[in-house]
Amino acid sequence: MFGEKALDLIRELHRSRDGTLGPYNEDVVRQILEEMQILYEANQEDVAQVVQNDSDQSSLTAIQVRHDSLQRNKRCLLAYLYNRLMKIRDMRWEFGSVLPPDIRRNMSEREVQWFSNYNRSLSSYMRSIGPRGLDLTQDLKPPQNVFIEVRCVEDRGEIELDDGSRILLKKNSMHFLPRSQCERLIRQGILKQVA
Amino acid sequence: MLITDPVNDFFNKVKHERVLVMVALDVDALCACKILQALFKCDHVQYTLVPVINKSQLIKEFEEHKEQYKHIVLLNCGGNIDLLHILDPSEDISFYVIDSHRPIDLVNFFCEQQIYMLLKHDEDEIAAIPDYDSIYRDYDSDDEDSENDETEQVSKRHRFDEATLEKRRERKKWEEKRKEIIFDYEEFSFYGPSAAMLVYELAWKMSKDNNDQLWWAITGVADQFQNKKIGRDKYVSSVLELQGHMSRLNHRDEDDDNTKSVNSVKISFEHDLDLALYRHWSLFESLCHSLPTASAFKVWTNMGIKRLHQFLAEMGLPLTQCKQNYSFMETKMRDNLQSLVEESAEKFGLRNIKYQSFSAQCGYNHRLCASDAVYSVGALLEKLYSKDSQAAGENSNFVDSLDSLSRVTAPKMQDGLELAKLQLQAIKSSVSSFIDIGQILSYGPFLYTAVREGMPDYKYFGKPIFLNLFSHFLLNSYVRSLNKTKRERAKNLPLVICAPFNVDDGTTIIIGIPPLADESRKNLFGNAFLHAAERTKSRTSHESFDSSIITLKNEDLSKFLDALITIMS
Repeated sequence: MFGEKALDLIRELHRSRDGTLGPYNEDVVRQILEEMQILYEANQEDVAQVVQNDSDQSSLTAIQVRHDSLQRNKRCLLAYLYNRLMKIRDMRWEFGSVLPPDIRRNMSEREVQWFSNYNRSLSSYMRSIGPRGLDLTQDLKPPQNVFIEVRCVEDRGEIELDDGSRILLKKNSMHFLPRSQCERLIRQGILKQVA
Repeated sequence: MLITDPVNDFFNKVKHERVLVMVALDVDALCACKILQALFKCDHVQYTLVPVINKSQLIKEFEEHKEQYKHIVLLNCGGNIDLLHILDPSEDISFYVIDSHRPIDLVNFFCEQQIYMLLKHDEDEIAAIPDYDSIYRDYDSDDEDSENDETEQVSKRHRFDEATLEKRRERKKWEEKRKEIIFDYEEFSFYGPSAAMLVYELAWKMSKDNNDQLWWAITGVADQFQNKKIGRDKYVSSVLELQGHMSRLNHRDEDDDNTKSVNSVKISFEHDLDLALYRHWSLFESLCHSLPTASAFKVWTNMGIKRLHQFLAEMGLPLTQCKQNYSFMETKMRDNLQSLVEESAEKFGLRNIKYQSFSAQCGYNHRLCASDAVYSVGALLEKLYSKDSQAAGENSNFVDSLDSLSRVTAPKMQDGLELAKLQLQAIKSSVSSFIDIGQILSYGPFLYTAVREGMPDYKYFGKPIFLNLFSHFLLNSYVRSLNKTKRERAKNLPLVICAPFNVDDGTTIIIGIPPLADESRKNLFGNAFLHAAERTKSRTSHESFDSSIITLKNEDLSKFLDALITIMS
């Protein structure tokens, strides 16, 4: 039946868990497009006949059905693409400007392109705020504390903080540092927050 | 330099700086550290926490961090060593020392800047420190006189002869006196007020103290008492102070309208039984493994076990009840336990079975007694690891034990209690075998015994907290096991114990503890060890912050002991 493949695509999107991005299903998308092409051509033919021959109303129902199927396929495809883009956008806020390779592999070429465009416009916007720019992705929720207690998990040598002072990250040493400095290091697994 | 006003002279100075906190590995220091952390958190003081085991690690950590920090806080370390000498810090670094080790190094105390000592304003303590004038004196003018322009003054010399001679004589006399004063001052090592208590007082002066911090201070003080670092009188006076703080903090709860939430920490003062971990163990086991009862009943003999059974029968406690976990004992027995024990204790010659203590409760969990917390944290600090994971393990011990203190109900605390039971069992079985075999020898001025490599649990003995606890346990039990005439003599003898420290390097750890009869807990071994090592040129290392614990090469042991005997007799 027409539109079955499109429904599959939507189901697949629905099945994938929140916050994960499944591989871009190029095969099915192509099949849907082919199906649409066929439908479109069939409709073209019938419509031409009807236009030539005003009295022949027999194919009107078929045209209507094909047209609805086309519309439906289009809607499903757009929904699929749009939802994927929204997920990718969320990931930009979550992971920063460079996506992990396993997520990148699941993206289509166009999506990669869109991502870099989005990146560019976001960063140019963030640069334009205030005199020195503002990293909007830093605190999505207002932080509870400015400082947090962290414990160093591995030896990393000295790092320099924003205020110019340096601290030595040694395994099992504990530090009380500004939250903004730690977040990146925690994500990299160098520091651990002490509850 | 002595700090008179800790809030202004210490805390407000470091308030806007980055601080390095170095923590010695004992329970008291950890407690002090927890309180300090809480204070720093309130004022957003950025800090870094580093554990230090011994002097060489102190130096190493300092070298690594000295460029980044200008303010260094030392908890329970560094007070009794000349910091300027061993660390050689640049002039803009200041040290704040909160240390319970005594005697305080005189250079640290009289140093005008850089080193700031936080002390309790205790008359005795300040009085014990010799006058500045009697140890330091300006010699520059004299020296110049004598060395200046010799050739020119040759002719004049005769005239001044009398005067210079007089001066020299005086100087010599003064130097001798100085030596004597310093010797008297440094002869004994002992412990002052607990570091946790000092930091708690700082918190109190800043009006930032709460029940959590009070509990840490209590644990710190309990650690000092339990590990026999301070005598009973000092403990009692600290307890009275703590009790004052407790009632001040909790007076609001007394009327019914202001009941606090169940989940807050409740601290209560009580006269508790001096039994190790009895709330978390069975009563029978606890009686066997606590110092006062074990040594009084002599549980290492058959007679002792019989007497212990008699004692239980006297109290009317059925064995089935005693041998099961305390929390499953019948409620009626549990409630009457204290008075029962107290009544029968007198008949069996158990004195001081009760002592003033505190316990904390959070939510509907079991009460945690301060001394049990000390056992638990101490056991976590000295947790043993298999050889390959040793390096990683030793560091994480610090982290674990700090975690266990974070809340009264911390799951790590339970782990620690289990470990502490193992340690106590090891202590008890070793004490029994030492006394049975008669391994404790009298060397004249002191008693001596050695832990052999290959004994069960010998690895525990390389750890200072355990070794200290063991030696007190052993000395107590040994003295009790003697007959009356011998006992009087043994009471006044200190004990020296050797134990394998590092089998691969062939090093031995030696600890000396003061005699049983000495209530002041003053330890003379620090100096004696130093002299004995100098005299025999033994390869010793005095690395521990405790001067009465040293390590040395196995080969040097016998000549070292010989020298120790001659020095002390």
